[in-house]
Amino acid sequence: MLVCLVVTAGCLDAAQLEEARVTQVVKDVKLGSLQAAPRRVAVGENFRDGDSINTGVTGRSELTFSDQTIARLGAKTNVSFSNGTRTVDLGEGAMLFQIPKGAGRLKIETAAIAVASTEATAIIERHGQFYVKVLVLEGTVRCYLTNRLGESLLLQPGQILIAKPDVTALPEPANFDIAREMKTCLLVREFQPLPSQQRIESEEQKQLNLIAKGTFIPSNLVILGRGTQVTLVNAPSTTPPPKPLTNIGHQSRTP
Amino acid sequence: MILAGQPTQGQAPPGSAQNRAQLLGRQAYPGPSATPSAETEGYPVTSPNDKDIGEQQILKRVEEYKPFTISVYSPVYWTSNAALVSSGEQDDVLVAPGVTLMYEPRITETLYAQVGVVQQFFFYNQLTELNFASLDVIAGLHYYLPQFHNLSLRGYYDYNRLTDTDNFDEIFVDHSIILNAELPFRIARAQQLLAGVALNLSFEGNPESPRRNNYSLYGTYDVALSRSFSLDAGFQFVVRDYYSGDRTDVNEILSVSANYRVRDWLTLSALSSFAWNQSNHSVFDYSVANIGGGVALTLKF
Repeated sequence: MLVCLVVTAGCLDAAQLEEARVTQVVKDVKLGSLQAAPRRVAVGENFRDGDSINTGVTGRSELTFSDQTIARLGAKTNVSFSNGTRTVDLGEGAMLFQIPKGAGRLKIETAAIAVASTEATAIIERHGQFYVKVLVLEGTVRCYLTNRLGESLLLQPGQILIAKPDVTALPEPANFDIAREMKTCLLVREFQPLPSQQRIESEEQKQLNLIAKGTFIPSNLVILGRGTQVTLVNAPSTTPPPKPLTNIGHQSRTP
Repeated sequence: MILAGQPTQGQAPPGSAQNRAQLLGRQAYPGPSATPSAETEGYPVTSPNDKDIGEQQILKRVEEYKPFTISVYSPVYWTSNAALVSSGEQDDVLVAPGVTLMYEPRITETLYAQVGVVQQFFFYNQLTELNFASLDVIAGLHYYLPQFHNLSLRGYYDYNRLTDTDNFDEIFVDHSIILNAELPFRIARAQQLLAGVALNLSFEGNPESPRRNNYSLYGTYDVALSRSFSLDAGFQFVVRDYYSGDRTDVNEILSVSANYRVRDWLTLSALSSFAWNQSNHSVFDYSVANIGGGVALTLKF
C-alpha cells in the first residue's frame, strides 16, 4: 500500500512537470526538438522532454511549468529538458529559476556541476569553459558535482558560488548584496514581479539587519557584470566609475 | 600477586572504571571550528549574460568567534561485559550522562588556549556497585598549521578523578600530560578521513596500580549524507603501559555512529563500539560490545 502510494506520488510529481509552456518571449527565441529543426517560438507554446530552447544575442524568454515553477532564460542561452522536464541541462547562458513551495524538485545540470532545489529562487550562469556562477536569492539550493560523491554544499540566500565548469572540488561561496542584485538583474527587472518577491525582500531585510549588526560589511568589491571580474568601487553603497582590477582572485578574502 | 588482583564475577578489576571512562567517555574535547577559506581561481572574459544577471556586490562576513562551549549529553548503552572482565562476563545497561564546559580563547589566528571541565557519570542498571563518576579538568594549547595540511597539535594537562556516585569518594586520581596530533584528509566536501596520534603520560596517580601511560594511534572516517545526517566510523589502537608491575595491554576499539542533527544545538545519535583488550597477563584480557543511542545538546557563545 505504502509502495503504491509512493510510486503514485512519484508519477504524479513527474506528470506535473512533464509539460511546460512558454510564457514570455523577447526577440529571438527558438524551440528545437529531436523531430524538427529549430523554429521561432511564440508565447503559449508547449514544450516537453527532449526539447531544447535557444535564445539569441538579444533574446530572452520565460517558461512556466505546470507546477508553477518559473525559468527565465537570458541572452545566448541554450537549455534542454529531460526526466519529465524536471532536469534542465544548461548548455550555455543564464537562467533564473523560481520553484514554489510544494513543487517538485528541479535539477539543473551544467558540465560537472548540478544544482537542485525544491523551493528557491536562484540564478545560474554558465559561460563556456570559463565559469559557472550560482546565486541564491531566497530558499536553499544544493550545489554538487555529478562526478564526485560527497562534493556537495548548500547555498543559502545571499550566497554566490563561482567555479570552473570542470572543477573537481567546489570552492567556498561568498556573500553578495541581494538588494543590489535585484535592482540590476535584467531577468528580474524586464519580467513580471516574481511570485517569491516577498520572500526575497525578507532576505534583503535579513541582510540589512546583519549589516546593521556588523556581521556583514559591505565591501567595495563589485562584480559589475563583466564575467567574474571584480571591480573596486569607492564606496560600498554607490556605483562610481569603475576601476577594473584583475579577474577575481580571492573573492571572499579581499578586504 | 597478579592473580590476587583478579576480580571475582561482577566486580570491576583495577582500572576498569578508567577503561570504561575512556571507552565511552567524551575523549574528544571540542576544538574550535576553524574552516579555512577555499581559494577561488581567476576567471577571465566578459559574458553575454552579464546584464542578465546584474551586479554582485560582495559582502564580507565578519566571523564571530565563540570561545565558550557547553555540552550536555546522555548516551545509553547495552554493554556485553559490564565489568570488563576476562571471564564471567555480565551484560547490563549503562547510562552515562555528562557535561562539558570549555573555554577556548583565540590567542593568535591559529593558536588557541583550552581550559575545560568534563564531568560524566556511569550508572549501571543491575551492577550498581560498578557505578562511578569521572571528572576531568584540562588546560592546554591547541595549534593549527594550515600550511601543513591543516595539521592540528594539542598539548594539555589533564587532572582526572574517578569517584563513586554515592558520596563521591575517590577511587583513583591521576595527573597526566596529553600530547595529540591530528591530520585531516578531505576526500570531498562531505567526506573526511582523519589520522591521529595521542600520548597520555601520567606523571602522578593514586592508587598506583591503575596508573599507566597510553600510546594511541587512531583514524576516523566521517561522511555527511545530508544536511543533518552523518555517519562516523573510527578505529583506535592503544598500548597501555602500566606503572605497577610489568603489565602492558594492547587495546583496540572500533566505533560506528550515526548522527542526526535536529537543530544546530541538538544531536541524536545511534552509537556502537567494540573493544578488545589483550594483556601480557591474560587475566586482564577482555572484549566488550556496546550498542546504544544518545542525545547531546551543545551551545557555543
